[in-house]
Amino acid sequence: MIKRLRYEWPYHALLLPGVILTFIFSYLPIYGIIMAFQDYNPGLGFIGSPWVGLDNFKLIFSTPQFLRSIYNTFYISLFKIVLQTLASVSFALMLNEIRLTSAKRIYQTIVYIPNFISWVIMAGILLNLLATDGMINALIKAMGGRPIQFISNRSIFPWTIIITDVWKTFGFGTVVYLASITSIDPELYEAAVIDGAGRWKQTRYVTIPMLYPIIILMVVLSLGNVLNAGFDQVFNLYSPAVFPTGDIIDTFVYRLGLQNGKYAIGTAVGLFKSVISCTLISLSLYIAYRFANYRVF
Amino acid sequence: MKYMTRGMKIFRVFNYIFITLVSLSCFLPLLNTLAVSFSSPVAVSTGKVYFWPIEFTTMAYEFALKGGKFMRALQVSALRCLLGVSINLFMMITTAYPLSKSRQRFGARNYYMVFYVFTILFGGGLIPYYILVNQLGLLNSIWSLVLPLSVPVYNMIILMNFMRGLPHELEEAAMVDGAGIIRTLVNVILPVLTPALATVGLFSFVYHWNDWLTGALFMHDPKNYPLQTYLQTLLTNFSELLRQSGSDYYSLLSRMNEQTGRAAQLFLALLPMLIIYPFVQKYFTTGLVMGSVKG
Amino acid sequence: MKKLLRTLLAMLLVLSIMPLTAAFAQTIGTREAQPIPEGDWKTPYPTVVNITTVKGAGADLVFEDGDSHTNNPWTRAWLDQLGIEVTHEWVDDGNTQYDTKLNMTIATGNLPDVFKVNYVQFRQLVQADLLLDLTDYYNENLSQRIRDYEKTDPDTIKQSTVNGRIYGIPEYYYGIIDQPKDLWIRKDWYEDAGSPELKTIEDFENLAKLFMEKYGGYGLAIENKLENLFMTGPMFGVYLGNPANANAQYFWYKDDTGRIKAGIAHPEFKKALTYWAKWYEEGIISPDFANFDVNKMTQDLVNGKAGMQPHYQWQGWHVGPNLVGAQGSDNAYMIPFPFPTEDGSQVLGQIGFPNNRVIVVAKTCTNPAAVMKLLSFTDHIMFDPTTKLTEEEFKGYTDGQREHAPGSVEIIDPMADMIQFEHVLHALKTGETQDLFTAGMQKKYGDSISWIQDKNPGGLGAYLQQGFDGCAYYNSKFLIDNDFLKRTDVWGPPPEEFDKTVNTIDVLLNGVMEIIMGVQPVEYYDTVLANWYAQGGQIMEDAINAQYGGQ
Repeated sequence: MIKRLRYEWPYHALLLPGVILTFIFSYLPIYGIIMAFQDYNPGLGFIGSPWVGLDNFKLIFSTPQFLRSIYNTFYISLFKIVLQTLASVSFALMLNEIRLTSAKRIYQTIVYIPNFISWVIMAGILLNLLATDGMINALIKAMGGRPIQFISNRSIFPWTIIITDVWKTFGFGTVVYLASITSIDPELYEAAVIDGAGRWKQTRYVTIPMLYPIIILMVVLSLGNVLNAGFDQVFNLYSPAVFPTGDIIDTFVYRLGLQNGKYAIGTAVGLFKSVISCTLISLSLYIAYRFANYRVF
Repeated sequence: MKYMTRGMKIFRVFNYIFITLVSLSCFLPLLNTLAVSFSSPVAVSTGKVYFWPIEFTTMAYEFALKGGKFMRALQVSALRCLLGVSINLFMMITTAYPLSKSRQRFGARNYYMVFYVFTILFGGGLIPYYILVNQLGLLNSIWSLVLPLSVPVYNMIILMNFMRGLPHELEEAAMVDGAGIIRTLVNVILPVLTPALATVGLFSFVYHWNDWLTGALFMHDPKNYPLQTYLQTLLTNFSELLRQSGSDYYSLLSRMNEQTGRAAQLFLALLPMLIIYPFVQKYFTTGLVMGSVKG
Repeated sequence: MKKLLRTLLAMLLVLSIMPLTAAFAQTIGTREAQPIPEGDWKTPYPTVVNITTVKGAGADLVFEDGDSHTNNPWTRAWLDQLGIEVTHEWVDDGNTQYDTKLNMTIATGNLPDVFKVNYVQFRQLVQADLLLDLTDYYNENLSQRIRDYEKTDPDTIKQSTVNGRIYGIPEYYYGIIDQPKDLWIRKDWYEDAGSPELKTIEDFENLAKLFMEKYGGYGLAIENKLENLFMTGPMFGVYLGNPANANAQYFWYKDDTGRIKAGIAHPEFKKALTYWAKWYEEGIISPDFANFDVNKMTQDLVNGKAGMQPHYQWQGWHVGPNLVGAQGSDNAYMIPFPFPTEDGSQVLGQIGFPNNRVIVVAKTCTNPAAVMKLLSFTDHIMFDPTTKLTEEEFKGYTDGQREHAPGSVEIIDPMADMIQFEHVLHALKTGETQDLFTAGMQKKYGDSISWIQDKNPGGLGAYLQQGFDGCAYYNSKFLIDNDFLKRTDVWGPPPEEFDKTVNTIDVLLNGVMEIIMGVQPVEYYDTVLANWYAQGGQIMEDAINAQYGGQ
């Protein structure tokens, strides 16, 4: 033990400043979680506020709309993660087939741009685009179809959310995956060519398997966020007409009116989200390690 | 390419068309936003503006830039980014490096890792955080904006993964030469880290540049607001501002509205990114990736 | 015959207005010459007293070079004329995070001397016993003018009175004249249609259909959070809240049995639903309305896709200038009409509890009388017609929205907008501008003139609010003067028990949307309402009745 420390002390020393600051700013305030079990009153403080046990949790879990919003959150989030991964990987693979380096770089930059545009603005654009008399429906009508109510039909709305989000954010994944593809050892491809593999088989048996580790990392990291199904996006696009399918946990909590000082309920929901995210992340780490023998952290 | 099969040629043509279409769909919203920010509110609210400004006006920008407040906020933001990114980089390097070691080499590694991962999942909320910042005497000071999130855990993990991907030989050679852990880090590891640092540094920069809420909460004197906080206050007040508007705002009314204002705000936020991005991009791509390829 | 009747009616109206316009000199007369209370608030302190405060201020506030939130004509006047030095612990510029910052400040335990709170914060501070009993200071140190606001609104101060002692002074509001909504209609279209009578819902529907026939599009512009649609409630004798505003989602009033119920629980609401569903089916409401956010709704009006909208009295700022600009016609703007009703009877103006904030003093404050001085002084400068200021002083206090610079020590005259409207309209009619004694009056007058004379679209907002017989305040004043009002029976904030419910309105709004859009029949509303009661509506209704004296 002592011997270990003699060799390892510089590691501890390097970690020290970060650990101190993180301890101060992330661990010291954590006592705020007790608010979830209180009828918190800022005037009475954390010590003086009355304890209410699990009342805050009972209140939100006895609300059918909250349970529904949990379901919607998972539904929207999981499909976003799956489709985003698929879209990013396939777009990266397609982009990889482009030989011209400068063109590749320009495309790569362009598909990244929507990430920078806030949902407030994007929603404005989408509401116009997806209206019954909007451009998309004009196209559908021109092709002889019937106009689709992308925003107000409750069975279509979650998919409007999923697909527009995938479209807005797939550029980030593409940049990541494309870069991983570029860094794959060329010898692997040469070996494949010798074995008589064409472009398609090279992709299938070399490129895609080499991407697994990074795909796993990206998916695990996004699983930690699975209960954040995109507040800004949903908030700017939804209406009461689609509450049953479109309301997510964060929009539900927003409507509680946190500005009215309902901190306790907000904290209770936050704690619930933390526990779920924690479980999911642990589970995915375990699965990644057990079945892919891959250590993420 | 020596030869191409017919199928491949067809694929290539299709591929180009598809990629171009998708890219176009990603580019047009930006163009639209830019056009809106330079258009008259009348043109915008009649839905005439697509990709080119109609009835060109720079009012939305003048509105944001007028008075000394903008320059002041810009200075605060610049200082915040400079301090924030430096602190983040230092902390990320000193944290990611030990954590990139295996448990055999650094026994306590996993404890530290859990310590950090915990912080991305659990938090105490705004109030205890504010009480803390208050007790530390940091309120109304730039340090309240740059110290709290000094170790961005997500980015640190990306950096850590990058370090894990570096060939072991690099370090071993240095160790054999008798260099200690810290000397190795500074002389051997840091130089090859540039791409990864550029990547996480950019992320850090984007965060510090765009975050407006902490500025509004922790700065007691509006003189100390960072740029995004300042712009946010202007825009959330816009309709209120119009409702009680006096004669000063005549010219404003006919030349900007909330939509054009938001569009302009987005561009002001994006501008430094657009300037920095090309410089970072070549690192950006390689850096991020290396990060996770090797397990 | 009809025409003759209308002319007669119009003449009668004009006649009834004349004594009113003549009367405001008197109205003001009764408001000046009040006895100054003991310990005259105007006497400055011999040695400087310090008062700490915090404030949220609109981002539209502009200061002269070198001045700031913490050093401006107001703070200098307080120091020079009252001997009070005001220190701001923080300023929330733009007023976006005031409540959050204040909650956090309360949590740190260091309260400023004087600050403004909402009713939730007020309740919490009283529970924590952190507020000073202001009763004696209120009675002895506050100006008579402010105490007289109880004559206009005797009930609001009760909401910040605990066991007979005053713990908070209401901030008040610009007046209930702000509250009644109107049906806004495109003036040029309306005139082209021959200015038809708009008495009954049928009149309205016919006009909407006529617009649709002539100009395409649809009839009534609303958005998908239902804020605007719910404004039409009074047409059907039902009074509704604003679903988009967490603080005022319901409008509570007694039914025949004396039980206080939310508007959505009154039987008339089903009549509203029936009409709304019919309008949707007939295209009077756009089939796309569930897609409309506020911007899209405005966009359609500006584009001429619709020519009617239920809206507040400030609609002219919202739609006005863009509509004129887009249509390129000085006559293309929207004017307010009182809502029609089913049988053509007089519609009632809906009046809710208007006060949002109260001014409180911390128990730790060492000189509460100084706070009363500050409040009295600010009110004296802003609203007292007897105040004599040089033009330079006046500009110093009010230019660049600086009338709001006092922040936490600003109390508003609850008659402010009514008095302002009377003065502005009078000045516009007579050209006599010497009586425009507040900054607001001068601005609204200047704006209206700039529209009337120069057709400057920027002036439309003020003109449509206050500038002519038939403007929004004109309609509201008519309702107030004749007591055609539906006041809420809950003159105060929601009871604490509301915290035991969460998002109860969700079920309701979703059901309402489905009924309007024809997915469900109107009868389905019984189920929706039952669900609403089951999921928190009952708790709310019981609490309201217990606290506000219903059956």
